[in-house]
Formats: sequence, structure tokens, C-alpha cells
Amino acid sequence: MFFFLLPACAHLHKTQIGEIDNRKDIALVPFEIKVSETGVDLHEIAAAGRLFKSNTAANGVGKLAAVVSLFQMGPATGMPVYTENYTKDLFSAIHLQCPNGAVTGLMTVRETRKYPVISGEIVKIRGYCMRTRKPASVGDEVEEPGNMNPIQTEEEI
Amino acid sequence: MIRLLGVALLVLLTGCASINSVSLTSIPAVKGKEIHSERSKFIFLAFNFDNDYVNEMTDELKTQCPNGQVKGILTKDETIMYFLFVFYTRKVTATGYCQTQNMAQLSENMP
Repeated sequence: MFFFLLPACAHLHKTQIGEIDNRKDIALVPFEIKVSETGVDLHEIAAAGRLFKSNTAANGVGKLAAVVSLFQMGPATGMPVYTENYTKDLFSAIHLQCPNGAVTGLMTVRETRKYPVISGEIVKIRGYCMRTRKPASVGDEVEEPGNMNPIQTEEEI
Repeated sequence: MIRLLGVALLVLLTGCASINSVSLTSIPAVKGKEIHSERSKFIFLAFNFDNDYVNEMTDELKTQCPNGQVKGILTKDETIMYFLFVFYTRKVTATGYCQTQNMAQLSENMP
């Protein structure tokens, strides 16, 4: 039973790769950021209710699922989540990883991990922080962040 | 009998392809060498437990463009379904141009 319940099937929705700056005077430091939110499949809840012979509850959930689906039209990836704000801090998360704001080779992956009834709606970002490389005589050391152009916030712009 | 077998094989081996997403970054005026990276995964009965196969794509492009910038990257994410959708392949393809420093300067000087 656990064999079927525990593993999550992973579904890839979208992949996107951005420009990569691989000039030799720039050192690239890789980073990865992952944010996720729990998705709920109301139809599966209704089906589970019927499985346990609670028809009244199952019908209630079924009706709720029908009402909720009226408000969820248009293209979507994965299961519905009840807050769309889980991705809004991605920009600041990248800034935390690369305080100088110089980022390249961003790969964005949107995926779902499906469990019974619930799902993990995931956005994953992999990329590189750009650091200026010191001259060859010094070695392969990289400068501390802050020497390259910082990301401008909306207020600064 | 052989004809029937041939038709059965054709049905079994033919895949229906669909695109999940396409993205394109800005294309430079002076394009360099075209570089390419492709990753795919064959999945049986939707039993897929990770999507890590796409993780190395950026590195692959980077390796093909030492001391340059990869621009104009077209990323295509597609699914190829086989008979009765029991098997399918997820394929992600990225194609771009490797622009050297000289090319970048030329590109900037263009109107």
C-alpha cells in the first residue's frame, strides 16, 4: 500500500532557458531555488469519499468541486492552488543568492509532484551568479559580490 | 499476415507529438556558431519520479560555447505519445547561437 502512496509521479509542464554569459573573465557560481505550494484535487476527494461509502460527504465535495471549477477557466498547469502568491518572492530569492544582481543562464522549470488527492506545484529556477574573475596571476579566485551592476528595484527605476 | 503485422508495427511505433511550451530569447544581429542540446526521457505508464534529466542542459550549452555568450535560445518542450499512450517520451530541445566577444561588439555597432 505504501509503495503506491509514497512515491510521487513527477510531471514536467514547462522548461525555459535564458541567455548564458560564459566569457572567460567571468566566474559562474551555480545556484538553485525551488518554491512550491500544495494543490488539491477535489474530484479525487469526492472519489475517496465514495470509496469509504460516505455518499453524502462525497456528493457535497463533488458539488463543491463543480462550483470551484466554474471559477477556474482557461489554461492551467497542474492542480489548483489556493494562493498564487507562492512565486512572488522568486525575484528576491534570486537576489539573496546573488546579492550583486548579476545573474545568467537561468533555467525555469515548472513541475508537479502528484500524490493521492494533493499535489506539489513546484517552480524551480537554476542559474549562475556572475562574479568578476581576478587576473590569471592571482589565480582563479573571484571577487566578492557587489562589484558588478546591481539589480535595480522598481523604486530606484 | 505480413501486411497485418506491418500495419500493427506501424500503429505501435508511430508517435503523436505535441508541444507543451516554446520560448525564445532575443536573437543577435551577428549570429555565431549554432549550438544544440537535447534531453529526453522514455516514460512507461506515467511512472516518472523526477525531471532531473533537464538539469544539465544549461551546462551542455555552456560547454559548447567556451568564452562566449549563448544567445537566441529556442527552448522546445514536447511530448511524443506512442500506442494507446501507454508509453511516451518527454523531450526538451534547446538551440542557440554562440556569440564571441568580437561578434558581440559587431552586433552592438549595427543600426
